[in-house]
Amino acid sequence: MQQTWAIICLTWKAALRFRLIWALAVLLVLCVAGLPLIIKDDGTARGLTQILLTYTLSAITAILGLATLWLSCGTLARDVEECQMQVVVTKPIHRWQVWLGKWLGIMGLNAALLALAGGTVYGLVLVRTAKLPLQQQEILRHEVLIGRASAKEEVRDFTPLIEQTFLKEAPQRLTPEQMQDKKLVEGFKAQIREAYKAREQIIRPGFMREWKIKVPASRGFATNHIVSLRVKFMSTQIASGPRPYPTIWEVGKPESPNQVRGTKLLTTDTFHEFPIPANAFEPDGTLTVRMTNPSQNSAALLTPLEDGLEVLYHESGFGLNFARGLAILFCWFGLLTALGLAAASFMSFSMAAFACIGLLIVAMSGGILKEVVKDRTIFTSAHAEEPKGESSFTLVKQVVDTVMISVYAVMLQVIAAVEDYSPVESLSAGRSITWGHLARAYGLMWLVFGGICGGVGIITFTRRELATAQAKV
Amino acid sequence: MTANRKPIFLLLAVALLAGVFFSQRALNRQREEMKLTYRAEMLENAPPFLAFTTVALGGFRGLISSYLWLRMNELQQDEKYFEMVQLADWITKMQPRFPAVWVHQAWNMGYNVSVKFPDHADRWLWVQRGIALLRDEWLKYNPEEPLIYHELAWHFQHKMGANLDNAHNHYKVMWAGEMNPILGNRPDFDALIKPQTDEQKERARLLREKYKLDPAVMKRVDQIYGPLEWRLPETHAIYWGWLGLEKTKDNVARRELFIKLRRVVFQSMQLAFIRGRLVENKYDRSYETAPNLDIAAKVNQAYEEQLAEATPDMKENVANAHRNFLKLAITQFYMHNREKEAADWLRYLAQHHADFLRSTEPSVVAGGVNFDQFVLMRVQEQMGTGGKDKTQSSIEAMLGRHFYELAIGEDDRAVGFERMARGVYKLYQERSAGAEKGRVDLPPYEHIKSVVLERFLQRASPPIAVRLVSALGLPPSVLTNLTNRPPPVPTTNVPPKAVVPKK
Repeated sequence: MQQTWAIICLTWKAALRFRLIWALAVLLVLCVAGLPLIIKDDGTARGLTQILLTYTLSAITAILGLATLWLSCGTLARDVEECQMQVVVTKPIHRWQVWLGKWLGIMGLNAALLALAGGTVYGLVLVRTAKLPLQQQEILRHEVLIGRASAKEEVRDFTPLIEQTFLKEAPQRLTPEQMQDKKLVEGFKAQIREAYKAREQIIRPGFMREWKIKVPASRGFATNHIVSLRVKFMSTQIASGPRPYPTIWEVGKPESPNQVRGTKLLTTDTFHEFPIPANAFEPDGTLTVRMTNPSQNSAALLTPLEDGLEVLYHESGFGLNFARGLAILFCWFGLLTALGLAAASFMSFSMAAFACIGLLIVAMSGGILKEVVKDRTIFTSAHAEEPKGESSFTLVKQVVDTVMISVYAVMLQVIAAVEDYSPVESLSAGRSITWGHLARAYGLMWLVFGGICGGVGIITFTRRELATAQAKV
Repeated sequence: MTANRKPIFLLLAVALLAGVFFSQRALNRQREEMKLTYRAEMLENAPPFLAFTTVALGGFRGLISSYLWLRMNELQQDEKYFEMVQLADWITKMQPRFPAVWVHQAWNMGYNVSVKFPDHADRWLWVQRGIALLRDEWLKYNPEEPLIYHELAWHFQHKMGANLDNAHNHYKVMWAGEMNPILGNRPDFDALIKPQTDEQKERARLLREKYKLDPAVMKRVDQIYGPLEWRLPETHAIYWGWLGLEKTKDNVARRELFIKLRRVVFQSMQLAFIRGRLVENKYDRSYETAPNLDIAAKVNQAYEEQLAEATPDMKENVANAHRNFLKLAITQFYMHNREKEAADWLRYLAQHHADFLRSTEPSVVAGGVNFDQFVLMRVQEQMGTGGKDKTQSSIEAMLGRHFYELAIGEDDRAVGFERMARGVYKLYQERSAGAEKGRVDLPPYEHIKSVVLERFLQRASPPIAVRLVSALGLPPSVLTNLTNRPPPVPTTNVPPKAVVPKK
């Protein structure tokens, strides 16, 4: 431990000696304090707070993320290139201790800088919102400056029904040859699935749909606990844009005295949020919600199974949620540090930095990778017409596509796993980052991905012949 | 690198440079011809940030703006709008000379994003954002681009003025509420051009700095097309359309857009005729619109200009629109008890569109004008096709006529007008039953009737008012209450003057 501590101290000393920590601290504070002066919000208190949180936290992530990557590549690779490491490893210290000491040292710096920048953002948000009218503050307290957990109705598994219907219908509609065509069979089943989904999703005029959503945490809700419904629906009527429709809502068990009923004029294709009383839950934590499409509406309404209705309820305060968000950022920096150190364990500083930044750019291009995997080709072109006939180019395309799509699919899985834990979006939407979420993020990013990077880095660094680096100078 | 390879690389470099020397000029020419690049001319009034993005970023500008476009589309799909204003600001600054970008961004905020919100106040915020982007940003840098003036005018004429959005009444009330403290019922242009008092200076400052309206231009527009009601959106459509024509007349490269600007002016003039008068409803502190008959001659002039400039294939369309306007004007004048002007305009119609009249209204050409019959035919036409504004205007006119006939003792005619008004109301409500509530449906019939009665009693001469109150069996205190109220709000519908149609 003493040896590792010595490396941590050396890393800190180097950062202080090169004034890196001061430069980063000033840059972060200036950025966080200056951004609100130049950004344009949509004119609402909600929009102002959301954009403030999004842009400042994104700026912190970008600045600290790049600095972390640069520093982790530099601190190890430069030490090797400048022959300081050769002196260090002659001391009674294991190579893994050097590697771990560097990681802990950089993470210590990150913790200090993140606390400073995060504290500034938190203070800024509180100061700015305190100046708003009370009514606006109340909206923020309910929608943005809060950690809201979410519950949805369990999506029914249609698979047994689909299989049953397929076995009944397919022999009458498909020939034996068609039954062998995998693509056709999948298409047929997809149609059956959509028909079953439509039965649950579509509310015809004069009809009603009921949801039963389990929220076990509701047993502890006080009567003033913040609970709201988030709804979205579409209309079957063709329109040039979203249109408002009157809808009738009943929240709570029908025979319960706590049931509330109301009419709301809501627009199609848009998420709407409205508060509901906390005592509408049944003792077992079930919430019954009914939506009626009044018969005077000329169109059927469609509430998607996946995101048609969601219950949002207060899980934690903004302060705790914000702290957990920062903890996830810290987790990301841990992974970046491990990545940078792993690259620097066997590459020169410039090569390691180049490779890491390249990886970062690829990670940020998740949208493009997703498109490629969806299109099943990397040769997407604006020209609709493909040259006809077999050619050598077509063959090359097929080979390249086969290889690249597989690589991209794996990369996409990794990127999606990391991106799923992004705290910025949750914080600006007032969604809670739960302890479970936080634990999963650390488990995946530190234990799995960080573990792989650390393992590769430590093994390579331990086996590396450090004297060869001198010959390249 | 070994020494013997160096001369080879040197020769290769020289050869490549020579190749560039010969091909560069042709490449540059092709870039110009294919419009692959803009010339690096500076924008007018560009702030340092804009100068930096347009010059220093070079080719990276395209990459950055593409990323911003992607992010904006992604956020819009996810219904996250809080970044829209910022992203639109950055995108337009990255591509400041590309008018389609500005038009799209303004349109997106004003039309696509606004309608996502059920709350009318939220919608109004986004409509304002769309207008502000064009008016406050683009015009500052590119004052000679006609497309932007047209878009700006269109936002006023169509988004705020038309009734396609079910929050259109809210937009009109909010706009009138913003303009009212600055302009009042009738703007004193001279006081705004050369303000003397602090209060006048403050109003002039707001007008210039916040709304980018020049009082001198407003005065000129009012002289040409008015008297206009400056608290209504279509007047501002006329202002921006006219200003666009003035400011961009030297931009011959964009000449094809001038016709769009002229069209927006004459279409807005037509709207101003139908509902270009603002009447304050003191009972629920809202505004109502009424026809502005006094601008008939100027609307007619706008049509004549449009007819003179129309291409041969468009001439018949414009002529048809002109005829419809004239028929409307005759009907409105007649129903507002201004029969002399109605007769003048009927003569004008007969003179200028004789062939048309000969085939459709032979009795008019023959001289045996029966106004009642003529008006009834127009009413029947409107019952089939007329929109909310035209219909409400007709109903109000009929009710006004009903009260007048009642006051002068023509009970039969009074009953006829009332029956006609009720019939038009009923038919329109049946026709618009399937439409969204609050967008195109009329206020309750009895409400319209009470508002018209109130207006009639305020304007009628005392003997007529007394006779009407007596005929309706109302208590005399109705008149006392009227006289005790503050004087009626003056509107742009100045006391009737004889309109002399252009011969």
